[in-house]
Amino acid sequence: MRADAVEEFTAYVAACSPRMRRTAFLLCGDWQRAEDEVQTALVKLYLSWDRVRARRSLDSYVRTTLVRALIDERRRPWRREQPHAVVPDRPAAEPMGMEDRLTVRAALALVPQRQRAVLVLRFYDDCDVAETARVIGCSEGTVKSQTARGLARLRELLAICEPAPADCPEG
Amino acid sequence: MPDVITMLRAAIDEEPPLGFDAAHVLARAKRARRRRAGIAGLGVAGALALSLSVVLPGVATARGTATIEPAAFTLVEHANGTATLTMNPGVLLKPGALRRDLRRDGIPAQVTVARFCTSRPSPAGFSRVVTGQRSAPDTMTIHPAAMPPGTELSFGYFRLTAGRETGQETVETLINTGSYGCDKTAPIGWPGQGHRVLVHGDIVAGITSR
Repeated sequence: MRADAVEEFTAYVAACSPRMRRTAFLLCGDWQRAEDEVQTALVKLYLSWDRVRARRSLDSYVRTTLVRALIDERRRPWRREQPHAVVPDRPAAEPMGMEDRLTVRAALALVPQRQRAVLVLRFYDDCDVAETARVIGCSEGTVKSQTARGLARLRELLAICEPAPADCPEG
Repeated sequence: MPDVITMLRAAIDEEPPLGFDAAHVLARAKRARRRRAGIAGLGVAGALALSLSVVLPGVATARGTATIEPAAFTLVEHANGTATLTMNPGVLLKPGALRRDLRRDGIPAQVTVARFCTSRPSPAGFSRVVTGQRSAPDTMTIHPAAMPPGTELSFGYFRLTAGRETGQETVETLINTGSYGCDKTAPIGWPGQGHRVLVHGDIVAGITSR
């Protein structure tokens, strides 16, 4: 690889590593595993660097590698879509405290993996439905249904986990 | 409580320092590229050998070839509760893998790349928790039963460069769980107590233990 390409690569790694690690952490709940998976994704990026460096969205390439590695495909169940009531969310009244953050992370860890990935991509990484579908490798309809189910499950778990993360059911 | 999407967006406000840097990723990536090139070369050689065997039946064909990636470390748990950790200095360390294996054997540990975490003052008892011999500097015996309550091991792994020379340094010490700081500097000659430094490579090879 040419020196300028190496320089570009290392600059990209330095810039993207922190936010990719945060995404990975929300998906797996373990900072060390998150670091390992981010490094593995970045190594794959390097191996394809000459081909993908011109793309506008390197983040998308790394995010796809990362998310697919963290989703356990063997546990993907086929589920029929079922209608369910949507509970409207209230706007935030005040900034979240540490206890709320611990609670939401504990609850998120209990959401099924693919639903968790959809929630993290859409609401933490701000990916739209099409990008989320592309990253996960599913249809946009699946993303929408998984979003609804994931939010519903997260709300249920938050109701159980509140006020303390220790109240969460075992995963 | 705020709505669930707002909570999700604000789920992280604090995080540990990044345990790797771009140079570490680049070094791993270059190794991966070399490994891939090697495997591709074996494939070409195998195909060539096969074609030769068709043309020249008297030429022996290559036997089945497997590529085994060397491990960065080996951890063996013993019946008496101790564990023997042997580092392979020529292989880049995956910190999460070492941490997971240590925890599996009942040894709580922080493993960091390009950073080293310490408590000030260091908890006492490191020399009872980690023992080794100068004749086998890559190998250490860990005695988890000797770890004071509320402590864990801290492993720091650094890649060293000086001009064109390269090397690796691993540093171990005891830290207080939840009360430690991490530093980017490889602590060669660090004057604290209760730690072990192991340096490999072109730069210098040796071990110091306090």
